[in-house]
Amino acid sequence: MPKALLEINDLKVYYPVKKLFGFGEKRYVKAVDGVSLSINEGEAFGLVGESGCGKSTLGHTIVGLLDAMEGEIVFDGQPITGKGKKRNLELSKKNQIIFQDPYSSLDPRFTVGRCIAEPLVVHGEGNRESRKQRVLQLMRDVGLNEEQYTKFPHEFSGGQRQRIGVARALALDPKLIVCDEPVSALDVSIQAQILNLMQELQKKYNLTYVFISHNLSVVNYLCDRVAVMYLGNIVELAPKTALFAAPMHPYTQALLNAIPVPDPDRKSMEGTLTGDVPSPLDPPSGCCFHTRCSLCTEICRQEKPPRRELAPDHFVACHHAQNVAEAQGAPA
Amino acid sequence: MENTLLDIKNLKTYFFTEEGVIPAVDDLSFTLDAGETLAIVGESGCGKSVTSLSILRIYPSPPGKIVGGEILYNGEDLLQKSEGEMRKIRGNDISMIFQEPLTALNPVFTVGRQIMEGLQMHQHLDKKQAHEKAVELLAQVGIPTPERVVDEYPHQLSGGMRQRVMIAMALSCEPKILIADEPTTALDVTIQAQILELLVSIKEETGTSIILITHDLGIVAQIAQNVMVMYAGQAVEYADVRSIFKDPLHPYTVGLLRSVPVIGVEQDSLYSIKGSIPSAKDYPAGCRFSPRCQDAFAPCAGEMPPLCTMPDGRRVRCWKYAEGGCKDA
Repeated sequence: MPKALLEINDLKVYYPVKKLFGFGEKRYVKAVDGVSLSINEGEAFGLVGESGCGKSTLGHTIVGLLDAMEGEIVFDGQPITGKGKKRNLELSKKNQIIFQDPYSSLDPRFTVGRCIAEPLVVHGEGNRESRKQRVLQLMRDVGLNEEQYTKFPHEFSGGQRQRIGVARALALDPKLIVCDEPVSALDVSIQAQILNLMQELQKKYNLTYVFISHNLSVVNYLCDRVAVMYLGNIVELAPKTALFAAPMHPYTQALLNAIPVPDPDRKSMEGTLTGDVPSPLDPPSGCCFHTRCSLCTEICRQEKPPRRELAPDHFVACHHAQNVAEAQGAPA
Repeated sequence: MENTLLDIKNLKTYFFTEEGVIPAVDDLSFTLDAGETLAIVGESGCGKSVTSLSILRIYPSPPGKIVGGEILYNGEDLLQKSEGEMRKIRGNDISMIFQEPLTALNPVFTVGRQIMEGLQMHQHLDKKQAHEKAVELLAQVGIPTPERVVDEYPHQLSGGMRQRVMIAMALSCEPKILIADEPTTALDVTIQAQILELLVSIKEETGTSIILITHDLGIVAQIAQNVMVMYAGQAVEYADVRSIFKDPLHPYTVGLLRSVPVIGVEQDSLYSIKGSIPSAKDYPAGCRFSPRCQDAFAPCAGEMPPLCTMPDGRRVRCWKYAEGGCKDA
């Protein structure tokens, strides 16, 4: 049994909505609404979903950029966040993040060397000389030139900037890195370079990744286990091969069907969903997906489906998951 | 060809900036037949959007300028037309769907009023008729309760709905050519599938030709009949969709296809094209892809390869295929 590095128990992250002229009930956007999962050491865990499903909010809460409303996150045996608990700086060193947009996540007035050294400075690691040596080593690790140490972010292309972001996340020698859509702003040929780099680094430093993406193909390539989110809930959680070969939740199936396959002989994009994602301010009753689901029945509108383990390590939150799996001819 | 709608010959759109001349589109030729879907694929900065803006002559000018070539629509050169004549073509014969519907729609007018504008101007409908037609169009693009949406403002709609409004607007005057510039890049996959399905069904119903500009090879494979791959302002390969995906010729096309992860295919490590896209200010001499090409050999760095027509009618810009003699050269 691999060791769990990160445990999340019934996590809820809500954003309060400003009341109009101070009247009315206090309302919240339920971005993450009762998520539980555990992530093992050394694994790449994928978190997928469409915009507004709460995947980034969950990622930001894991690194402590957002506070949880309820629930707890236990990292390496110690709680890092929880109700009324202050962040543990020592532990957050082991817990870093790579952001989506390499154009806005680097300070334009800092040199590359300074950008990468920033986490070391904040945590008071080493002296000026040792920090410089560390930064140069990191730059070599991510495939940047040592001569680029004194350059500024605007002198780099998108792919190289994302390399700087990766180096900065690695600076404190973390165990866990939350990667928030690290390649979605990059061109296809550059995306492949960054994905390969991340895979290499994972092997080299035995890193654990929480990889957030809307692109299922990228998650399929990099991750071991995948959780699919919809409106703040995890609807399906399974090992990669099981999830992509035999998805059990109707939403996962629809997501997979919606991907255009780069092969003119394989027709995809059939049986697509109708309608839009409901507002998280006013989520539907019962199963959050029932408004767009073709299998929806009375029970879906009334009762929130519990998460069930239908195959080994394959968790689904759907009242009709067995039927979905059977229709696919997969063992349920 | 008899039914050629659009014939672009040696188009050159350059940008004259303080830092020098940027050849955004450099010697580009292609044709579009009636009822055809042509996909223009490429990475950022390859000139695919400038190509579409050039066809309608709506590129930023200055600094942009078309310095050469012809754009023949039904045999007439659009570059010789006056601004007034162009206005009659834009939105009427050739219309466009933009990438980001929120910036392309005017926030202070209702959706209906924006759709009606083209109808009143080009089709000379009166206000009442135009309003009815707008409701009809919104229903056609799959908007529920079109009678209500027609009087709403863009901010009241979701991203997918806004893109549907854009499509309704583009279709309002039954154009012969629809240019879709990354129509689904800003949308989620399930919404993207809905929009693409809509485009395909519209094409089947109306027989409109579509120029689809995208960077997503999956969308190309699912929708297009012919594909032009662009790199650094030039066409590097131009062929039918099956040839491009099953038997790509140009090393850049090969590299692009291999660097996309595919579900259902187990990959240990992804192929990646080395280096980065060159800046348009200083394109390499010779073949513009040569510094990144794994197959580069002696002539590549020295001289620009011509866009050669292969025996089967495909066109490719690479010395590997031009050596044996090239009839276009």
